[in-house]
Amino acid sequence: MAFPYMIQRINRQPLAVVLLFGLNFVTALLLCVLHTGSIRLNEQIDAVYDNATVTCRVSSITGTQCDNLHLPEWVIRLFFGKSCIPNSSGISFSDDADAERFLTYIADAYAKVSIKGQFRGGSVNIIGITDIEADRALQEEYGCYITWQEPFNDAIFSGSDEYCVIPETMLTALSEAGNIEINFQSGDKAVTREFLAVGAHTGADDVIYCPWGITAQINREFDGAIHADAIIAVLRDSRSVPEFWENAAGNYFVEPNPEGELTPWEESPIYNNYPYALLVNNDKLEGTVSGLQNNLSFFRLCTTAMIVLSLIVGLVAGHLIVRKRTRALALQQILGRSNGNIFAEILLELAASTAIGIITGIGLSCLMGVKDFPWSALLASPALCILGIASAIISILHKDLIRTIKEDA
Amino acid sequence: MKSFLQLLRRPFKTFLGILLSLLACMVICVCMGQYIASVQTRAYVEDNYVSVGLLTSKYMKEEVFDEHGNSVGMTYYDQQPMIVREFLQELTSPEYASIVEGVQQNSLTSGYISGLTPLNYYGIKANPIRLDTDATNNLSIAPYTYAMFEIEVDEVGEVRPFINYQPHFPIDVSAYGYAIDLTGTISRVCSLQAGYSDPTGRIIRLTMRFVTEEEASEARPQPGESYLVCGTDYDDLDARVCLSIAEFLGVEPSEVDWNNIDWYTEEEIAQSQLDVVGEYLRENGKHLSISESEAQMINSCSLTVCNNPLLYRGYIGQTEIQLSTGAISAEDYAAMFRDSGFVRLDGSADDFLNQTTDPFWSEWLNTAQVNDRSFPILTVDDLNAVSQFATQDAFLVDGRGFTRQDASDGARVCVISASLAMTNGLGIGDKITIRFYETDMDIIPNQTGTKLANPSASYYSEFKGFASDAEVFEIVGLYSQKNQWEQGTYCFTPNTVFVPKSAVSAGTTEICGGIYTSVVLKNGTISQMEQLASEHGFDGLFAFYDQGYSEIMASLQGYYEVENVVLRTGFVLWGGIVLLFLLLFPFQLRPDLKRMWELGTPPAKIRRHIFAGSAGMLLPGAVLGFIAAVLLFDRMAQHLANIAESDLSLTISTGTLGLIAAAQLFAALIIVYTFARILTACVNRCSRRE
Repeated sequence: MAFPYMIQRINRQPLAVVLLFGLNFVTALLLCVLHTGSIRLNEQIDAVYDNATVTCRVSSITGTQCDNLHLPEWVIRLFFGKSCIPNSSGISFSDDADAERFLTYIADAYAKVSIKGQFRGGSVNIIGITDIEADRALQEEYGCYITWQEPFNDAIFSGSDEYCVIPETMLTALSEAGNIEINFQSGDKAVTREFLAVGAHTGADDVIYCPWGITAQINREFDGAIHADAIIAVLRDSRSVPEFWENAAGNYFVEPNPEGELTPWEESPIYNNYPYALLVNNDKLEGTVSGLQNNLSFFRLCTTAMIVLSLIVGLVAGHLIVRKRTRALALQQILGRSNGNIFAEILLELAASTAIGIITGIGLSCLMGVKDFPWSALLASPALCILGIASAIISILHKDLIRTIKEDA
Repeated sequence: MKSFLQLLRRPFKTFLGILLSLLACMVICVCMGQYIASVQTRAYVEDNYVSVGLLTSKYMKEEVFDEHGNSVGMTYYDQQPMIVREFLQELTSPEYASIVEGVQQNSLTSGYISGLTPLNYYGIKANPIRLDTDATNNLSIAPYTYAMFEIEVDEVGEVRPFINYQPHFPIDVSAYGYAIDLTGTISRVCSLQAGYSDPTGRIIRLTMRFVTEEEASEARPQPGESYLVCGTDYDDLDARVCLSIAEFLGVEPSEVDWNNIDWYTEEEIAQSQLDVVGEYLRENGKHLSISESEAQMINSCSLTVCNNPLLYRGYIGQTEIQLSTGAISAEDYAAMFRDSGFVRLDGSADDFLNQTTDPFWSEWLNTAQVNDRSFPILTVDDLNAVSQFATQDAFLVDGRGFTRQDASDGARVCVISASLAMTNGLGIGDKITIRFYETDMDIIPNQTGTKLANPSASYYSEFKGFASDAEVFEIVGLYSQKNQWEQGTYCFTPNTVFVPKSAVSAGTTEICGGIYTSVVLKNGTISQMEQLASEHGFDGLFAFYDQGYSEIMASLQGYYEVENVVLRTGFVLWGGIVLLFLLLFPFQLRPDLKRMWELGTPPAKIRRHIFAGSAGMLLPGAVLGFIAAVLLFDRMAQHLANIAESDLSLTISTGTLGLIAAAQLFAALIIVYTFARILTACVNRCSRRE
């Protein structure tokens, strides 16, 4: 098993060894490229998730109404936390820890509530919003434009100062100071609030927008509780929708059911059935990511196919190379060398070619800028190739070589 | 032939060559297949995300100035003005093809679907979501307003001019005739759209209209008499006040219970300064005042019967009426378009209807039957470009939208709302029969045809009849809406049935704006479109929606670039393998070639020898590679189908793979042939030099 002898033999039959080297070199290179590609594809899929916005809305059980829902305090607290509701005593019918967990999945939440009021004897709708995103009727996309007075902007909605945005048609009714007085009445109770108009909108003529905090106070004064007409939230992590359902949302809401079938809510001392559904807007994103991941799986399967191909290449190449040497091997057997000895010698020779091919492939990949190597695949591929070669050698050595030579002759 | 035979003489070497060829074929098939899969993903994403520009109402109003340049008011248009329409037309030119994919103009028609009952938000007591109260956007219950009742008269008012006040603008009040207001009790419902709650036993507030005072006096009903009345403006006042109170209280309409009203005594009413007659008591001890007018609406409904349709628009006195088809006499018009009536009953309504020889009653019942089951049919090519679908306020919950083939073939397929399907017990694959009919612009009053949002079906006209035979449409998709009774700019009701544009042969109405018009953009070109609109002086004309495409666009581009790198690497590897093949096989033939040249073999024959020898290995290698690739891809596709529940199926057809294998073989053969030429030339030169 002298090493120089092996070199001599390689010299005698370079084609086989060069081919084995070449095949393994190509395999290694392809595996490295596929691996790097799949890492980058994964990163891009992550980027798709990171850049996408997934929103959820509280809806009716059928999922066909997201506005005018008259959502109670516990729903508002889930999305905005206790801090947004004065004198709040937590979620009355469930574990507060669950509610806290719910909040960890929410990045931003927007709420809207509408109260009837009287302005100069006429009925007006006072809409309290936490952000301009809470009501589409106020957005430019829906043909509504707001003219702000300097230095005000839509940040007023997140505050609790008595500012408002009035319809353009109401501008003439403003006092010199730019104030308007709105009367609110519920039963025997009546309240008058003075708002400073800081902007004018081109939307409906009987709608005045003000910060959510103000309407919440008025609600509380009249009804002892606050409510919301609609709540929309942006999820913190687009990937966490299943986890969000399992750990948080599923405790309070059901998924929309077009047939309106009610789901019993055993944990709740207030409700017999879940009163609201949560409409998560991630179908399109999931469809896209699923397509990309499908593609990535295809990519990985190609890698697996390459590794399996190594086994076949090893088996075929090994069989061909060893069969070519049948005469030499028969002679060695006659000279008394054991099959194990011959097997080890041939295997070493071909394994060396395989290994050099793989190493060269890795080296070239390294020069090409590949940094993260698929070590398991790079080990599995030559291992399977060598396994194939070994199987081929064993299958030939187990035959009667002398008879084989005679038959061939 | 000898060259091929020579290959058999050296089977080992030949087999190695075949193996290399197989590997080259496999590498190129895998890389190209991967790239094709990526292209499919890309196409799926591009098809799935639709970027649209929806027309805002910014240019649908125009300030009016007086001669001094002072603003004196605003003119509102019921659709986009001509300059906007011209701009939209311009956008379809090839000049903007890199930005604009097309301008989708949807159109509206009406359809009678015998097996389907429309949803009626009054009947199901769903409170419409109010975004604005623009008449072009609001919800209406037309044409489900035909009603025929048998009533018992309770109280009858005096004959009065229909307009008994002096309007601010000059009109001839006598042209609107005379009226009698009466209240009665509905004893039997002969015809009413199925979506309403049953009004039997309710109070009906009936307005009877006549041309002359004499006619009115003669026909004035007496209390206790039974009448059969039919009209076209049925209004469920009970539901209306219920919805209004529910909205005010912020509760579900179903929670409103009239037993919670504490009615005032007459003394208390007299003391009340306002017209409050009771209080609605709430659970939390609060109360809501109920006005007299609201109280009158509770448990009642209203209807108008009119003995001459010209009264609706104050055309009494005119001798000729101008119709869309020409002028006709007022008498003929009154006879043709009579749409309501009343008759005193001596027996039952059924007896009267069976015995009467007046064709009006049977025709009216026929028309009512059509109107009660008529639907707004919106013809579209791409559902994703329809406003609410583009804004993701509507989405498919089951089935599919329309394919390009549906649009081009005029496939008889439709998409209906999940609510409608559920109410009627229908699902995907079920079939509905539609008879289309067109709007009769001569019907007075015609409430449809000009609404930008929430379009309703038109009132059916006996004179125009149906525009098509009954056509069978298969339900292929069910949609749901986030707010299905919304009065927004881009909304439609859940009664809306979508069909491919080319599947409708009846005349349709096209309006520019609202839910009818969408500019479909190439994905990722919103900012360019904004700039384009701005350059043409249309700032704010469009509201853009791309369903989040712009957010993930950069990441998707990165994704596709990786796929491109893999493809390029595949080509490089293929080139490497082919080079290896050239070095290991044709290049090793140099001594043979030299010998052949020395023996006087012509160069062309030497070239053929090299080429044939190589082709003998490349060809079976390519065939084996193709077979292996087909098996591999087939298995992969099956495996992926099992593990992923994606809409996307990565399919690479055998034909495509065959094409790739053939192309790579062809390329390899050309390379070998070129190499053979070079090699022959080199051998010739070397031999000559020697």
